[in-house]
Amino acid sequence: MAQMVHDVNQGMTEAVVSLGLKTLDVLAAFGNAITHVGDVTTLAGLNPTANNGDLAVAAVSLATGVATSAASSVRLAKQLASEELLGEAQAGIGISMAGAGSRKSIDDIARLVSECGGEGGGWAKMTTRTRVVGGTPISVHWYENVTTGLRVEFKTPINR
Amino acid sequence: MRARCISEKPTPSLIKALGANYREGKTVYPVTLGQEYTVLGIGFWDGVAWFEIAPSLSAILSIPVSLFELTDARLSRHWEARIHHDGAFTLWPPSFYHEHYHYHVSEGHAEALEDFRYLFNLLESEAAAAP
Repeated sequence: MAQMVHDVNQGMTEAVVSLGLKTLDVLAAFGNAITHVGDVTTLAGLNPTANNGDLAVAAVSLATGVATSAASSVRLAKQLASEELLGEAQAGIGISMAGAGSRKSIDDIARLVSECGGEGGGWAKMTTRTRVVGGTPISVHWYENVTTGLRVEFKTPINR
Repeated sequence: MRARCISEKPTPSLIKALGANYREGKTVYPVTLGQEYTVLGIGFWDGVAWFEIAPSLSAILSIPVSLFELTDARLSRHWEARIHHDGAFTLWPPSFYHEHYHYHVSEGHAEALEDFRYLFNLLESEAAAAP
């Protein structure tokens, strides 16, 4: 009986490791970890009473691979969102937060006029729409001269 | 006060009312259809009513009221009324009246950001509390 349990555990461990490696291959190939997070739970749940160390090692290895891939996916998604919004900002698509077109003033207007020209009243601090990726709101801010259409100082405040 | 976005784009009549405040093909209000927002303040100027909304902690924006429906109509006790020299009327938190406050928040200035974070949580908690 003990031998049979051992054999079952051994077989299960090999299956888990094999499946884990295949899953990691898939993750590496597609870089999409999120839909595979459930696989870790499923694999661990195949034999919840197993005490074979290899099973734990395989599961941890798989989970680590999934976590790394998930982090990469979120990073990539943030980068893509930022680039998409930067494109909108460069096209002047957004609304004024301060300066021209709003009732709020730009504290830094003297520097802006000095460096970029124009009249103080012609400058607006603009923002694109906000996209939330991995729980982080992403938008692009810039200054725009509403008279000349000049757009400068694009930036992405992603940590707030 | 809380409000849900019922349209991301203004109607032709609102566009007409917005006048120079709306640039065809350029003005895109950073609100999401169906999403609920805490109203941080209310203002009336240029013949249009505006909500102060923060899609994130890096921007306080004036969005036309017509793009929303009210989901909680209670006024905030943290608002202060002011009549401006050009006839505008606002119900804003006192911090919003500080010169450059909105700009400093957008720039991430530590003091303004700390104040806004506190204020935002205050207004959110108030709106979430039972009547």
